[in-house]
Amino acid sequence: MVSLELLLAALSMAAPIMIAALGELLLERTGRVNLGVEGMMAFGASLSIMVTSISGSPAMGLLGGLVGGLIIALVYVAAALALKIDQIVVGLLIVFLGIGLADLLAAAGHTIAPALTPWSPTHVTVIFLTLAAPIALWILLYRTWAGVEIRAIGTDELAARERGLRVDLARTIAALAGGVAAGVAGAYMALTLYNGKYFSGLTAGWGWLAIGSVILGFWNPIGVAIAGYSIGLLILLRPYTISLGVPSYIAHSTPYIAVLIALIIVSRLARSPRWKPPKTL
Amino acid sequence: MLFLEERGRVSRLTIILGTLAGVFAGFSLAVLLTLLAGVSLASVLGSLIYTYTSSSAIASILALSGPIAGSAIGLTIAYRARFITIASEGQVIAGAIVVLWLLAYSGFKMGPLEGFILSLFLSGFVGASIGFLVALLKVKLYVNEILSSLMINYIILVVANYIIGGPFREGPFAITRSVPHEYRVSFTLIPLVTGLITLALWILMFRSKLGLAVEAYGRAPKAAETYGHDPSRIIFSVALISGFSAGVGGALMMLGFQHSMSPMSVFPGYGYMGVLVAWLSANNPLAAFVSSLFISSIAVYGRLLQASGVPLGYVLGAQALIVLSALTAVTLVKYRVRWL
Repeated sequence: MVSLELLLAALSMAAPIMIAALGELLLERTGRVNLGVEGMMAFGASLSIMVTSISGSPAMGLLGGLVGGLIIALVYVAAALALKIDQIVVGLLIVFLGIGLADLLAAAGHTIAPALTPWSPTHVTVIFLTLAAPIALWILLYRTWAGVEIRAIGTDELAARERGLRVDLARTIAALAGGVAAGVAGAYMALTLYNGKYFSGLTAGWGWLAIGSVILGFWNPIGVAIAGYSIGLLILLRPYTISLGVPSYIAHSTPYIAVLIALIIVSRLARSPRWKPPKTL
Repeated sequence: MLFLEERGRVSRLTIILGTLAGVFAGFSLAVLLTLLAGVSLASVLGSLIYTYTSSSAIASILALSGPIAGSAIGLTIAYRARFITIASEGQVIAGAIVVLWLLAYSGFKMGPLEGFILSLFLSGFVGASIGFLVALLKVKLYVNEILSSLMINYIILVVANYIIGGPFREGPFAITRSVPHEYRVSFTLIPLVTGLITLALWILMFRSKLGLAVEAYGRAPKAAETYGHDPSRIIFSVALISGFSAGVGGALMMLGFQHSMSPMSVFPGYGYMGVLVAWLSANNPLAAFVSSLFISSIAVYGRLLQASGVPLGYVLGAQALIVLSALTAVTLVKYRVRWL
């Protein structure tokens, strides 16, 4: 039986995937991809636990996560955007680098901190921002000149440059925004979903699920938010599926299997001009 | 604004020296990070010296290089065709599980040599099957291979944990049976096997029609297609080859040093290390073979530092830092950075 309680619990579960996915979406609309979301989330999570543990404030921890994601995103900006090293390679390196640095930071002694209590004012603010972000991003992309520029850069980089658009600046800002979003998402995971704990492997592929959400949502903010929410709902429903007699290994694989199946469907649809990704991606 | 200006003709020697300088800089940074994390200088230096001088650490380097090189060598061919699969991690795990089944659970009676050869082929077949699935999703259903291979890795991890904690569980603890002693191989045999794979794939890459097609397709897909190279055939070929090689890496892991398995909370990481090695070696099978020994040495160094409180996750981070540093150095060798 679908209840408001279940829908809200799913929203709380899906929030990190939605936040990270929307950040990645902004970068992908400029025609670049950062596969390092998982690493940025892990470092954000670890740094948030350290900051919360020292300050005693989960709100400060969220800010710490934001800074963590930003720091790792700077690596992407320097290597992939400035030095033009293959963005796929850089993204994957960032995954390993972010996780390695996160584990090393945690080993310095900060693995437990006060949790961000569900439905506390700070938590409600994060949830509100998670819901507001896709609408704000939609307005930015489709109802402002900045959005027109971003989409123009993602559609035809050379034409955008000839028109005098600041392609590199737009991509840098988008990449840093993506890092900030991923860092906050990681911090939220550690502070809320894992009750103020950091451990190795905490992000468990959710960064990849966020990247999958961008594709599943056809690079549209509202679509991406719905895709992220659906994945969060699937994760939340895992214990229910086990109680229904579904083997636990199948239940635990559900989000990954679902994303794989959805990718197959979406990849076929994406062959039609209406659903194409940004051309320079 | 930053922009890159080509330096003109750069010799291969300069690029190699640049790569080595980048590796050294990255390695120094990785060591510095352990010091910043609070590990004493004595522990860091002691672990470094032990890694490269003690016979037991060198034996570990050779043993660990099995799954790393197995993954990396195959991936060099796949990446040359711009087929960016990350499935090597899952292929290593699946290869290891199937070898464990063959030697410890199936009940087949066979000699050590038959067991060894059958293990390599069976694990290779399983790895190639996973590669085939990723290629099928890409070629027939247009699914991005990076995401599909990563999702498949997570599914393999969950299924492997189920097998280890369920049907393969031995006794009260979640641990499997061990590979019987007669089937285990010496650490000296491991580089021999990966060396043979390297040689075979080097010949395939640089002395065969398939290699030529892979190279052409990787550089200019549309032109290669115009000249009659079938993209589907190329992608399926490199997926099968890289999958087979990574699967064999899984067999070497099980026969060489792992012997039994317990549930994994995180990926063992050998397949991912293979991805790093492939890039570090600029997708050259011979360079990948050598680089895998170096990356394996970082893994051994990281394990030694675990006694000083350094987490195992540091190993992949340090290796990524080294590869990133090497790629940066090569870029700076080829291009001059200018401000506009």
